[in-house]
Amino acid sequence: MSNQSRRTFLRQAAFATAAASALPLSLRAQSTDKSAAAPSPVPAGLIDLHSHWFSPGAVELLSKRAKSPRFFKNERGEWSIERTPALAGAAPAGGFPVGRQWFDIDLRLKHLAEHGVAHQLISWPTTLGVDPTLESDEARPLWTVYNDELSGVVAKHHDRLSGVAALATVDPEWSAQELARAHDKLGLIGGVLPVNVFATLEGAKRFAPVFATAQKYKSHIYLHTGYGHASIPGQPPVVSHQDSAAQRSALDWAYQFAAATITFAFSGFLDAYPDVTVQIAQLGGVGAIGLVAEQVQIGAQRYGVIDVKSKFRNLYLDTGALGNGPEAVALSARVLGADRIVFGTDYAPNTSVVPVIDHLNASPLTPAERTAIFRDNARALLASKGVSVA
Amino acid sequence: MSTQSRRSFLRSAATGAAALSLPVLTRAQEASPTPAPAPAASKLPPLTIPVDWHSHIVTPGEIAYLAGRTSAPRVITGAEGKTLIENLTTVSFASRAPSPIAVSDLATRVKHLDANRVERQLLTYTVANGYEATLPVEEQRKLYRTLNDDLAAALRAHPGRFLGVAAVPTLDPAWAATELERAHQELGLIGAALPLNAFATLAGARTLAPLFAAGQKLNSHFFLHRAPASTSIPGQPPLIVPDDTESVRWSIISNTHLANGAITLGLTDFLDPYPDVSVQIIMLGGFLPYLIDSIVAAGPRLNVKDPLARLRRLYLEPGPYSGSAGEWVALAARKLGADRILFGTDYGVGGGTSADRLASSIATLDAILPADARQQIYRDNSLTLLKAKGIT
Repeated sequence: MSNQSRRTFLRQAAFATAAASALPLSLRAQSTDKSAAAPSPVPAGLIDLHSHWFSPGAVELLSKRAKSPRFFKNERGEWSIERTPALAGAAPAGGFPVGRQWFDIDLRLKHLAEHGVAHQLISWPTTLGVDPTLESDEARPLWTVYNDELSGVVAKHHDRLSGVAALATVDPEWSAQELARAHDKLGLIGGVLPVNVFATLEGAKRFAPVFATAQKYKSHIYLHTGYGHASIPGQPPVVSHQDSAAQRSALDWAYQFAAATITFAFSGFLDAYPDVTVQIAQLGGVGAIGLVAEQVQIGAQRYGVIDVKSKFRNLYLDTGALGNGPEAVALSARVLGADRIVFGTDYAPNTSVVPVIDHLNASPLTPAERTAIFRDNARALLASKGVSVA
Repeated sequence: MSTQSRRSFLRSAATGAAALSLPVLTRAQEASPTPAPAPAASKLPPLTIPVDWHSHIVTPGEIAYLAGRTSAPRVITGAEGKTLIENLTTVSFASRAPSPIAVSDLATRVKHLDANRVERQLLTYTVANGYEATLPVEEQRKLYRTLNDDLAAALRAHPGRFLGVAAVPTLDPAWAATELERAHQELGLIGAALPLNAFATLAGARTLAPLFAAGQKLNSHFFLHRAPASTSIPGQPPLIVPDDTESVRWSIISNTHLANGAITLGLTDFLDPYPDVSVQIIMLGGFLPYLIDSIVAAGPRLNVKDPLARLRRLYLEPGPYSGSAGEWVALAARKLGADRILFGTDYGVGGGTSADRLASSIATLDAILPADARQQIYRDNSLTLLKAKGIT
């Protein structure tokens, strides 16, 4: 499967409305009362905490590379990305083009306004294989430039946009310093890291310097799809699927995100950093973490966890990418509480925020839960970081 | 029952039962004879359940065979004179201290069946023990033949109360096909139990084509349990043994393995030549129910024609989730169709005198399933499948 088609698969992944219509009538009749009810109106002033952007300087630096990961212009003059092959699955030779929405802030703001999104959090997409590939001497200048430029965009549109700094998994000490700079000088609210470096407690502990700084600044740490540098232990194995690749990739991501969420919720790693908030994309495991948490709650005595919800106190799960399945959102809200879920659209990889809005509307949630997910949870979170959203 | 009280009940009813789904547990926990919590009274009229499709048996021959081995997997006698199984770590199981094992007490089990209006149980050996990955094939042939003979004896000793599926080695599909034929024609069994990791990829599944060809000829029922297959089967999941937060991490490992197998069997063309083979995947195919929406939506673009219909060739069966994750069972019924869910409990792990997990499973499902789905899962689907296998 090409990277392009896999991305398309992800976009389609939660078209549960379509899926529901494919079910036999007798099955649809078994839906819960909540799911059968007409969705409540979408609240005003949505806050999208999962979106990406490529800055001009970062593109320039990566376009100077002779091998992947790199940017290049294809024969039609479109910016394209060539990802690191081992991490790109069956990505087509020559990479794949990326559209204007990845670069154009004005286009983004216009689109957001058209669809009622009042504020958006921007991060570097950690899926391109940049972080696993680049050594420290190349990673530091790249992320410095990106963070400087992200700072500029956020400063210019502070009422509409916030940002988290790109950090280097190859160098946690430098990343801690960069996180401090992001807070002190750049007006960013935290940092983004690839989720797989937190698949085990051993891997997470490598980032103790980053989290110590994050505790000092009360940072928001965002975990997004992808691998970190090979020096970080405990990352899930990279598997290249020879059949049913899209479906198995979805399963891989469920596993990877759930593994990291388990580290943050249950391993005790976060205990030393009570003022750090952690946002995990793909709903912390595409619904899987909801199932796991439910099992832990049921087996509280055996797992030694009396109150599962308390373990997620500083965690936020966003609905970006495969996290927008209506059933998965509803399950997570039931098990963990709707206050742990935030609206995220994966804008830029996705050209529109509308599908995720539609999927959340199709989710069997109460109106209050839906409003909390669309807006109120993120508003409170951003307010705790000093960002006021009207 | 209010939502709150139902949740409280589900939590209490399933404590302990849920444990059995996780491979990190010691056998001591699995074989505990502690009675299940008393179920809440159901407002629904009780239904007679034709078959509990997920139960395990430990046989005298299995104990004797493993006691004759000098290295794990083997049975040893512990300090207090108890028989213990010493196992090996596989991709599906983290070996810990040796844990109790004993020959299954079928007389008590029949009493549990009677008390819960369950007419029969499908008996399988403990696939999760991982013999497929830890014993040489020549030993597998001997052990499995013994197990299958013992299984047939158990069926003869309790006529009409048990069904059985044979143990067969994935390392030797040709011999497995021959043993499957013997199982049907001489032993009165209805199919075979297989480790699901053999189906983690299409390439792995295809190595078992001779067995499935025999299954098609014999109208077999294949019971697929989470477990490693022979190391010669390609495409199996990598070994990940968690060093922290172990119990919780095993849950996602196990459910991911299960879903990968379900994807192969449900979505690829592997089963196309074997339309008369029925395939049962335990624990609802792991995370599969939550992937069905996305699989269905993406099907046309991925050139998978009518993916829901393809997935509906499978039977999903909850096993331990019957007693611990009723909402998951209800979701699977909504997504795949209640007519593709079989009633199953994972009764009898570790042998000996087992706890009555039938009662807690029924109580949990009674609390969550709509009446029509309950009727299908408890009764109608079993009757349809039994009829297809020529059993009345």
